Amino acid sequence: MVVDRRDFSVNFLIALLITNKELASRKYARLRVIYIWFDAGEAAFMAEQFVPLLLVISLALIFALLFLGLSYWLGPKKASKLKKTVYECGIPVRGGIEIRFFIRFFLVALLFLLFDLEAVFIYPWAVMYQSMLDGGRMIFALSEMGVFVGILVVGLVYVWKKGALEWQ
Amino acid sequence: MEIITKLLTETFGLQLDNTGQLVAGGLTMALIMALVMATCAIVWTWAERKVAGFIQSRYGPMRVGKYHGALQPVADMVKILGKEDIIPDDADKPLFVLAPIIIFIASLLPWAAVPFAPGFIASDMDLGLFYIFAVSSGAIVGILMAGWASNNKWALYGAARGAAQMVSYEIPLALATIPVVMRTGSLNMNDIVIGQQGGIFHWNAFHDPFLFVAFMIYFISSIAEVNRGPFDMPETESELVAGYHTEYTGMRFALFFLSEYANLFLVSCIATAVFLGGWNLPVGNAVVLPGLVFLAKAVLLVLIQIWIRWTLPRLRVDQLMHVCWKVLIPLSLLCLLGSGILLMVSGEIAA
Repeated sequence: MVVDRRDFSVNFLIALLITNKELASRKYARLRVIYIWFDAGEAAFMAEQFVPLLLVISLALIFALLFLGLSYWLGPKKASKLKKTVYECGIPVRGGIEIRFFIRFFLVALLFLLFDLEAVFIYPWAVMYQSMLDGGRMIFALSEMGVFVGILVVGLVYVWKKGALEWQ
Repeated sequence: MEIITKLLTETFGLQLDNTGQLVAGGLTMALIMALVMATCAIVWTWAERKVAGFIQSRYGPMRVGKYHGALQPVADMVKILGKEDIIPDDADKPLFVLAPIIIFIASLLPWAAVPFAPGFIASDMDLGLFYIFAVSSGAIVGILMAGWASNNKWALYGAARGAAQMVSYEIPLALATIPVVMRTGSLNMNDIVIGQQGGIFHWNAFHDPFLFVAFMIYFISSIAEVNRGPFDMPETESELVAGYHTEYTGMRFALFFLSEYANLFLVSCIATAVFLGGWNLPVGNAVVLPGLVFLAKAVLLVLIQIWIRWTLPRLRVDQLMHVCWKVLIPLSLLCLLGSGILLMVSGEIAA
């Protein structure tokens, strides 16, 4: 099975575990089914792209812990009851965090889910747009996304008219 | 990445198989990235105070170091290392400790896909641009965590505002890059930069009017995305003390601070790579000192952002949301449509 290079999958994990030669041996015969799906060359390609990420994550973690460790080692540790209270402009704390939130924060979260998902769905189309044009499917290429975005624009206009975007 | 592995195998004579090459090259690259990022973030804290000083007709830091307080950021780091680390009694300890680490990691991760020069990229992944947006929004989780765990109402308000703002501005930020992806036909950062070869009018920002508007949308949203003035609502000193990091002291506070400046530089680097031609020169096809050209453009963008911060007054929350939802998002959707039609028409003419 030929896999598109741009397929986002967990192939790189497989690449770390299995190589082509191992797959060919009888020991891993049962894994041949997987081999159909996870082409080893493709998997190595994925590894090349994503192993550096694992390294960057671990490095970031090490750096953060190093900084924190250093300051824990060097800094003074003279805690007092007053020092450990939360900040309130120099006066005793008034009220806890049982505060009321403006309902708009919730609405923004909902709208975000909608529109960010929209953006995520537009990306694959944008990648393929040029090749669709080259393939002569011009009207289809544009109108397809036009319909998708159009529905969301109708939603935006509705939300706008309903006043969900006003902060007063 | 290729440069590094070549250097390791040929110059230092290391015998490496494929996996070894991958790990050694990736590790060196990641280390360089982390050091560059940390240094830049530290230098920016100095540059910001210096520029602020000049804008307000004063000197800024002058004492530490021979030249214009050049060693001030080093002195600050040393000072911060020696500060006490206070965790309030009422705080939610695990979350409180975890929040700055998450934000720090989220600000370091996107650097893996930033193409500084040909072959000088930690992970030359096909999903580059998408990956950058995906991991950098991890900071929102950290901000909410910090605000909630502090058990301080000012921190919580700041966190809610910060999350609402970052979440809102992420949409125009992502939508503004889509015309570029349409033009390039790839999300790979290297491909995007290479697609802008051949002088200033081949750079995405100056290629056509729609892309120019998209660049402007990206630039405005990126300032809001990194919570800087005039969009620094989450940390309004006059209302919320210091926003979500009110309760943080010492090194934990410094992690927030470092990530903020790293993010400032990151959005400038992405703008450079995606809109301003990356390492390409304004004239001709030649690639001369690619890394320096890239850095020069990114530094210019950072200086513009600092200039904006010290020039414009802070917006109100309602104005902020108005700009995002009623101006930038419809405008970026129009840009999308415009570039789509333009690509179609220009393709027809070319054919």
